[in-house]
Amino acid sequence: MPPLIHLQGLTKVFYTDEIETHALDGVHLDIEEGEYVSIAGPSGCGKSTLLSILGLLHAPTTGDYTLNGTPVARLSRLERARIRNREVGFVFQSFNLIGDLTVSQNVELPLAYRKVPPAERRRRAEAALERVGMAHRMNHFPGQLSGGQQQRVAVARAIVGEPSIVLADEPTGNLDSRNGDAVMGLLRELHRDGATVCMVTHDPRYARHAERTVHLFDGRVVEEERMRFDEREPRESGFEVAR
Amino acid sequence: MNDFRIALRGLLRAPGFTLAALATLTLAVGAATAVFSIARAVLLEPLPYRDPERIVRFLGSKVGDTEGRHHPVSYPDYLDAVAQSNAFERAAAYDEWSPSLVGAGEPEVLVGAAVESGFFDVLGIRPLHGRLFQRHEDTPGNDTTAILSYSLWRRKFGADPSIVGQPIRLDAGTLTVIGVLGPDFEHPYLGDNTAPVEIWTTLAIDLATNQVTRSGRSFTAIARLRPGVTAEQAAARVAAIGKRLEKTYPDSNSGRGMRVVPLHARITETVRQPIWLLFAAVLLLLAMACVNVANLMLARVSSRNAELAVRSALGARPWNLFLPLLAETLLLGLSGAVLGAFFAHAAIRWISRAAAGAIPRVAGASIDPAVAAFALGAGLFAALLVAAIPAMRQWRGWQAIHLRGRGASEDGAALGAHASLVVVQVALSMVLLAGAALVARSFWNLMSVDTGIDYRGAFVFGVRAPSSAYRTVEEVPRFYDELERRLLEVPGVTAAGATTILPFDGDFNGMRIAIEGRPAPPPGEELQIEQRTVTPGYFEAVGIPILAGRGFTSDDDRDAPRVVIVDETFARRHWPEGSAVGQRVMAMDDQSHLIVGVARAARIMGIDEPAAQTFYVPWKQSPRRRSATMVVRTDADAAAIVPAIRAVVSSISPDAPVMNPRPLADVVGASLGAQKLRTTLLSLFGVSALLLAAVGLAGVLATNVARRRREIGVRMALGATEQEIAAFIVGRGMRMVAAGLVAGALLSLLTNRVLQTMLFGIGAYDPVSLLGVATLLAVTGLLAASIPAWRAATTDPALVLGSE
Repeated sequence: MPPLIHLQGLTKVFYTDEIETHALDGVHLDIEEGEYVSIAGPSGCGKSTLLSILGLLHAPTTGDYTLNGTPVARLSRLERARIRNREVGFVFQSFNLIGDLTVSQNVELPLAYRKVPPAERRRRAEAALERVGMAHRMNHFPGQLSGGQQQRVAVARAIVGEPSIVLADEPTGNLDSRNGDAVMGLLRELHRDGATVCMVTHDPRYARHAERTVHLFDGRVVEEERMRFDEREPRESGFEVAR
Repeated sequence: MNDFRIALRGLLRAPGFTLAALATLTLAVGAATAVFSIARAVLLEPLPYRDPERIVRFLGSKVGDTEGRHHPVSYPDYLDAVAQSNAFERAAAYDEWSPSLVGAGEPEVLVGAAVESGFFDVLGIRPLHGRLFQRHEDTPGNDTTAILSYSLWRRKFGADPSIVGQPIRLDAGTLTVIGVLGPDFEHPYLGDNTAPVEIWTTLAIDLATNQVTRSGRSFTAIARLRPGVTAEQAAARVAAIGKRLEKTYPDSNSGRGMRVVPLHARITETVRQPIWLLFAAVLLLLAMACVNVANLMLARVSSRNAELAVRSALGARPWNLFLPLLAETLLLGLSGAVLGAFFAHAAIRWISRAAAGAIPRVAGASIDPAVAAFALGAGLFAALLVAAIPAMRQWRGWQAIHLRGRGASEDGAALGAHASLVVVQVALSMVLLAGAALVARSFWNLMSVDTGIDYRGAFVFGVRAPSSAYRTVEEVPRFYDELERRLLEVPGVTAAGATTILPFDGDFNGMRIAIEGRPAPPPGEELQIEQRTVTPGYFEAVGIPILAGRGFTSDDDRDAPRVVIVDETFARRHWPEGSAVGQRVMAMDDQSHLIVGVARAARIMGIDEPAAQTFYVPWKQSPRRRSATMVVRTDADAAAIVPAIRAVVSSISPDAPVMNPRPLADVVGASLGAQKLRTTLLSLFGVSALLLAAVGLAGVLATNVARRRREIGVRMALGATEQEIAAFIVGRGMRMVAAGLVAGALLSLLTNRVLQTMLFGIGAYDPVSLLGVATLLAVTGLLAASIPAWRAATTDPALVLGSE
């Protein structure tokens, strides 16, 4: 069975004025369906660039990228947007909920871009919020929630469209350790339920939640580390609910 | 001082913002200052005479005239009113006079006035050189003196003070110059001609010789109120006298009355409302400019939230935070005032030139200390208004930090304030544009109205048969016969004719007639008709076709039976079934006139007036005047025809002046001067408002996009396409536009009422205009929104989201 994500000789070069920056330099990477991968490395190693290519926010300069059997490296912006909407769910470091939309409206947003009818959107958003334990706050605004709660809503938004992969960029970066642990537990539960998760983190403690850690350095994959089950972070029960 | 230094540095560091804000304020303060200067010079500045509020003007009134037209009075009626009212300290009659100045270069017809000797005493002015008129010069035989205007003295006599006491040659005889008026003398706009009077002489009327009658209404007059008598009291007394005279002299006075009005009010009555309207429009523009700059400032302040937080953390009080903001807006406001004053100076010069014939006293508009103070006040007002809105935001920010312990960033509230300002701008634009659209459509209606006259291709000039060659008025037709014949020999001229009053020039000459064989109407309900005295070639030259019967011929002279041509309106009204040709009418001269032709109905009184019932008389049967306006139909251009005309006139009589040669279309244009100016200015304000609204909307949306970059990035990450993002931004903009349009439409419905009296062929609530303006604003809003929408759509989500 082919991998869900297949990257072959991927490069990404940024041009600013006369300066060429090689953010990725020949990356080969496969991610299997249902796998939980973390991407680690020092600042500036290309983690975020790799994530933006995986999430179809950027196109690679050269190389191949196959997502769920479809070559996506050379697609137009419009086609990338369409595939991103269906295949990718994002979780960001600073939650990035939209302040003037309710929790429910935030979660419905990917479905709205997919032209899902409002009633269906509402039902699926409620289900997603149920999964992350936030259904009781669906009519609140993000400003009324704690950081941990906002990130859980962000996770609900990432999974509501049942994407092929959830990409999480430093999902605990803006949270205290308790809420960070809770969010990591949530991602792990999603993975257990069959979701493919790819997470960028520079915190080794959280990287251990993944089955495999890919180490980047200077835009190259320098090491891949597969965790044994007993090495993986054991605690992932329950979520903190803001009072 | 330190705050101002910092503010100046801050403004110089943001040249884009500074330029945009300064240009907006300069334009708005300048326009407001220019219109204020005109309002002040025309409406607010008292007339430059002694106790000007005590000077009133006599006017005739006529039953059925609801428009308060300038009707002249008869000399005997005026004398009775002055003698019986006991309301006036001094009074003086005034009659128009257009002498030809000969013997001082090329003959030139002057704008003159014949007045009673007390005229300048009523005004309370003194001459620059020489003396004013004395009572003995009111008697026939002593009326041989003249007073020159300052401009004529300089132009024709080289500003030589020794001209006083010297004779000057006019076509009607020689007068002795007794005085020269000063440069500041403002003529009191008594005649139909708004051009300043250049030469004055005395009326010298001898009632005993029956030179004037009660039915001969060709005079106006001014008077100085006695101390303690108000204008209203004088008006009531004169009106009562008019009613008495109507009963005493029913033959001449039925349906006629008299009134007096303050001179200043009379001079300004036709322009008062349009000027205040323009002033209101320009204040709206100023408000919009303030809103625009406030919006720019709001964005600027919002971008300083971090700085605000730091300052607050260091213990700054609200006042400390407000001062730098106020310093910036004061610098902008004061600079806008100074630059606006320069802009206003240029605008005033342009308007004064463009409106010289349409707005009395406009030449007095200038940047004087009061106007400069207005500009400064407008600049300061703008500065405070511009500062107020961001200051409120800052205050809320400060409260947020100190009272709630949160950061100062309240994007939603800031954007709400921005959006409200855009809604206000769009609404104000709608009001201005709707007004401009109505006035423009009204002007278009005027321009496209069928006047009944084919004025394109007609060229006109004033001419006067000199008394040196044609001693009596009975000899004058010989001059016009010869002139008409010789003009037809000029290459390119296909028709030529003369008339006493040119269509569209605003002059009128009503007379009463009776239809023979029909019962005489009761007193006060006599048939009133406009009379024009014309030569045979006139109809073809001016482009009024004869629809039935015949035109005049050279045989229609004093020895032939009296004939007239009536216009279609008159014919249809009185002979709706049959033909007017062959019918007879009795005119004021008690002679029976045979109607020999029917001319097409023409709007001779003005484009905005319906075709008047008109009665054309052949010149040879009614030779009363020396002056005429010649109409020449030609396909030659002005450069070619004018020298040919001058040569022809000079060859017939070297003393005959050629006055004001111009296409008849120019006369039409001049008759619409006020409407054209109003339309031009309101359109300029409307377009400026549209641009301000567009810039405001684009600015707010650009700020919106800048603030929402992360949100846009998130939406893109969630799968929004570029088109969906663009539609999202445009949708936000169009929601503001839509709210503004609704508010603007409601406001327009309230304000457009004041335009009603200025409109022609269109209602103040014309839905097409409102819809058109709404569409224009919507399209402009769409275009304005498209730039920030495009910027939003091209956001790189990875870059935005990666910057966290």
